[in-house]
Amino acid sequence: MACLDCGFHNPPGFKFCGSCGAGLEDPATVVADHAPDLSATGAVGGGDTSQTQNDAAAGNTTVADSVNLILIRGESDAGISYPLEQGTHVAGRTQGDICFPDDPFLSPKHATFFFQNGSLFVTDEDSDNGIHIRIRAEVQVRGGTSFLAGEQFFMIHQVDTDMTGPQKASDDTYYYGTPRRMGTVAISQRLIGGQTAMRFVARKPVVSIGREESDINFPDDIFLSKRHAEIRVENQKIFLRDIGSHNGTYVKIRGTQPLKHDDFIFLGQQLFRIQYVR
Amino acid sequence: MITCRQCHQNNKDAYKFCIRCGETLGSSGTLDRRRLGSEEIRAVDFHRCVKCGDESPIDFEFCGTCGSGLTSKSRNPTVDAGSPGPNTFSGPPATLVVIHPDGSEGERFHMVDDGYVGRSVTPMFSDDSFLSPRHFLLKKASPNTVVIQDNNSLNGTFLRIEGSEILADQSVFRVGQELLLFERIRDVSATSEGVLVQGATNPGYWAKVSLILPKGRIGASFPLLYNEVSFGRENGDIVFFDDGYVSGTHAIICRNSDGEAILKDGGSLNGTFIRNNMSREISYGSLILVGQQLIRIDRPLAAER
Repeated sequence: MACLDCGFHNPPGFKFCGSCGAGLEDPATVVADHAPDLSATGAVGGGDTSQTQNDAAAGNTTVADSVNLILIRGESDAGISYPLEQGTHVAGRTQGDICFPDDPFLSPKHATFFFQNGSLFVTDEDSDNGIHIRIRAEVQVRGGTSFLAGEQFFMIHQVDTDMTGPQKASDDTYYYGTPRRMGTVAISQRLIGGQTAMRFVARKPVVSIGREESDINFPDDIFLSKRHAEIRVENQKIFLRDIGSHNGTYVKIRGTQPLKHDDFIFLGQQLFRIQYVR
Repeated sequence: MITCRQCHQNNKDAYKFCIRCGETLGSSGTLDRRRLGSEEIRAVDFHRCVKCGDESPIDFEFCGTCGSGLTSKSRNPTVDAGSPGPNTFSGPPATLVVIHPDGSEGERFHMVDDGYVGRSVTPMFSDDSFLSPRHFLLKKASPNTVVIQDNNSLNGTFLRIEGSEILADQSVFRVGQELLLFERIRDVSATSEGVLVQGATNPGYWAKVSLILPKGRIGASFPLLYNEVSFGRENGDIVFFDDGYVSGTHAIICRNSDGEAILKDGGSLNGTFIRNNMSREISYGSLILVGQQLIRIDRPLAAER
């Protein structure tokens, strides 16, 4: 099991990373209920509204006879629609019935969609880059969770809150280091290929990300809203929420997760909207 | 195998934290370094002065307490760890002058022969817990220079930059109290299956500078976008407003036309220091930073020999 924080490979069943000490438990379990109630969202903004109403009018949005996986290209979602009937549907770069051979971020077999009791579920097939789902409400995340906003890719890191004095090595020599400043949470920006560029160590319990007027700004990213997403730390728990962005904030999910009507998911560079049909 | 002191789980030697409970595993991080290094860093042997009875490290010629000659010349001959070529010059290599924070000169240590300087071999540094027992080696190289070689020390040997220095990938340097790591940002490559790790498009970052926290952990990272990036307390692209040892404008990293990174001091009060792991010839008057000491390497006194 690779550590989500540092990438070190640990034997299966281990709870903590042997290299960096981060917890190895699945961070996605806390995301399972990412969309508790469609009416309580508020986070789904922008041009989706009319489409949402159309679908809602078309029928029940919690239980479906079939589901359409609608590929979003640009601002409209009038693109390709993949009807998912009962059974399983594999998506990937080269395998399955939903293929994108030109997307370098997709694993050959990336994800599997399946029905159970009228609901759609998706399973991450141990893909390299995983599946990211648009969050509607505040979700709890943890060190190692990745999320997308605009064109940016972020990782959340727990910070070492041990503020005790200098630490000794085996020969009683103390380690040098930059003076410690109390941090709450760290957020790093990952580049294509996996290298970390910016790493921001927050000094306060709430940090905002956006194009401008936020704590962390990316003025050149036109897909980010001015104020896009917010990370909050409370009692050593970390929460992520979208603060009314146009394009949404997407958090990585692991294992198998339910998908609701009007969920948006990223597989590699491909953005899909889930449409329940009855 | 390291047994966790908290939960008694057995962990592999390379692990820094217990795989079961996450407890820090004592000394593993440094044990590896020590194994890779020479046998030099072990408890130092002492011999007793026949005159005053005090103990001095075995490679000392003179008693540290009373200054009388130490007769048992079983001096440690291992001053060749990583040494650069044959040493044709002999005699005292240098006088170490401690520079106080206010710039005044403090204690002096007259080295009588080539040898190590460190917490356990240099009496006046015995209280500096940031110095390794044998921190660096100093050897006479020419009438005007000495060779300094870091001895795989925990915290490294830093040289004050005169002019400019080429920053290699993974270079460590110091600006005020900030300990900084310079890393190149390289072109991307796909995994074995041809899958690219997902991320943001690189807007042109060519390197990054990160704060090093104790035990080698990384704090904030600042990607470098432009060809010239400055550091300071008040001015610059990367600002350490709460570090009183950083000058208003302190240091500059430039990318030259060959793509090399050049570190320059920007006229700071306290200087910019670069960690030097290789053996290096420096001229008398050079300033080094080791442990908590700022030391000037002076020409030895002729009277010493």
